Amino acid sequence: MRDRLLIRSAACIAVVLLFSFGLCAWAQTPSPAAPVVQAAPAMDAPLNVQAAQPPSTADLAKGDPGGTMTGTINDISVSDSKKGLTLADALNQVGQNKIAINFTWTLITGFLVMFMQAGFALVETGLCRAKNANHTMMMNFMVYSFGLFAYWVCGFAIQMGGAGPIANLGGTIPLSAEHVFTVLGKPWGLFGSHGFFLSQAGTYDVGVMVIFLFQMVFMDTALTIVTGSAAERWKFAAFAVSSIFMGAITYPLFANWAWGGGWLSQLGANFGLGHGYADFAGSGVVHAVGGITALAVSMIIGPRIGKYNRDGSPNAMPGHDIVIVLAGCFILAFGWFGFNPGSTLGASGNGALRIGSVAVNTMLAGCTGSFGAIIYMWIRYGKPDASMTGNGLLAGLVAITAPSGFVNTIGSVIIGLIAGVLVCLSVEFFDRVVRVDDPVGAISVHGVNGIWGVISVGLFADGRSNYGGSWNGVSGSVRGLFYGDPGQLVAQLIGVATLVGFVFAFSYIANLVIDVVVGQRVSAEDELEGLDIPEMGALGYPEFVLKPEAHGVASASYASGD
Amino acid sequence: MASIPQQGTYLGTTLIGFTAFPAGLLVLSSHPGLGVVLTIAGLALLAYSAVGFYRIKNIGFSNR
Repeated sequence: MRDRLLIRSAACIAVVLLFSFGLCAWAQTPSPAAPVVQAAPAMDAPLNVQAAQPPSTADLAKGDPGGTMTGTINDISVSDSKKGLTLADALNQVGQNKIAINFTWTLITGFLVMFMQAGFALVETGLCRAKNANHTMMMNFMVYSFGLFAYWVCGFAIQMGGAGPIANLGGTIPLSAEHVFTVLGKPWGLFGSHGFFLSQAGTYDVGVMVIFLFQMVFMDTALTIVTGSAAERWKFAAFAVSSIFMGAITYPLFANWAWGGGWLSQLGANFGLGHGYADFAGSGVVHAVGGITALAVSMIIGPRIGKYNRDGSPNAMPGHDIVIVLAGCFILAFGWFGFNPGSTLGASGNGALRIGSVAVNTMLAGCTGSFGAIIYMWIRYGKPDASMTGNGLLAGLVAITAPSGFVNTIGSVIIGLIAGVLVCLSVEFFDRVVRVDDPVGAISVHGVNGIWGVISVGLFADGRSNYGGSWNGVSGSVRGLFYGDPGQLVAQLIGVATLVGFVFAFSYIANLVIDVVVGQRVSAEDELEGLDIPEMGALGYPEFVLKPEAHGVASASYASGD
Repeated sequence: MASIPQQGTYLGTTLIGFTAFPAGLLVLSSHPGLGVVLTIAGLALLAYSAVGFYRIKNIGFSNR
């Protein structure tokens, strides 16, 4: 009996001990869900570079045909040689690499846009008569210089002086002075004021220089549109003054309202109209401003002698070289890959990887633009007209410029196709109904299709783009009417009304003043002779023999073959 | 009117005036004296150019 009691007692003690041990063991087991917290390495602490296994000097001396040893930890700049490579060094290098990628992208695409000047020069010169080749080419050549200088003096400051930080370009903090006035309790940006001569208020800055170059070539594109519609009768001195004014005031004002933090861009944030006026690469800012100014100048200087008969019917005045016209169109299509994809202002960060989509949209719209024009002309006139097919390509490209960053490929194909037909209808409308003489179709290609491009954003933007999570200060993606946001279409239509109402009136009055003071048009004798000798002092084609005017048309042929 | 030397002169003075005028406004607060001189000079050159252009505007227009 005593033994059984001892055995029971021992068993109870054993159970209690086992239970207690189990509890302690359970209590001491770390929870699997508990995160392991590690102290972050100090920013200035030296990093263990051996883990990165940088190539040795001996390895590098053998050459690197496969590229596996080039661009390693050895290439990171060290701020303090005593400490060696630190985390701060590595992270600074990452940040600088991002900005370097974006600088390089923006600059190279800007160079492509600059080369578009050559395309415009060839298109416009080819569509003019041989007797005006030097004059037309020189206008396209010098508009670059006049516009650039005016933009450097004050245009850039007015446009971008209050644009605020551009994250892809490292901040551009000095661009912080936007003049605003208050209406309905909301701020309305009117113009910027930092960046005069690129040397004021901290604008001697690497990021500011990059955005200046990119915006400058856009501005020059707008200016060169006018030289086409006013070709063959525009006095060179008047062209110079008009271009300086446009580069200094007209273009920068509207560009500020759309891109520089101005009131059009704030329609979404202030009044809930979508994401405000959205113009990705400038159908409105560049092309419509250029096309509408071209309309104003063409109305002031009137049609070329021989363009219209007494009954008002127009005469065809074909250009002298369709070869350089189409070559110029190709150069422009190439340059457009700078125009649209470059408008991401970078290839790294804030949704900039969408550059591929932007580029493909650009290609497709140009393609269907030429389809629209060639099919329309073939059906209507029986031949696939070359100059209008070229204009169809350009019309598609102009129209896709604003929506290129916001639409999908289906949208871009439709936008381009409509543009191709629209440019043909518009050329006929201005030629026969409005009776504004436009030798190259610039008003239709850039003005009408620029407006179509602006409207198309409000229709086709699919809400799938994401440029840093917001656009114009409104979170989310730009979405058009067909994708559920009618407010965006309203914002776009307000932009169109501003283009037609303000830009046209402002350009018309300014060029009317220039007409009164300088005189916009050459004399009739000079026009009939051709502007090369009277205005420029040399023929574009000195070995040509120019036939005398016949029904307002001068044709050219080689001396030996005529 | 074909191009004549005076047009080049007045275009040149236009460019100088167009540069001097905003430059003057820009330095008006930091260098008032220089700012006033540049502003006035710029305006004067722009006015001179406008008058000059206007005076030669119709030379050579016999049949318009």
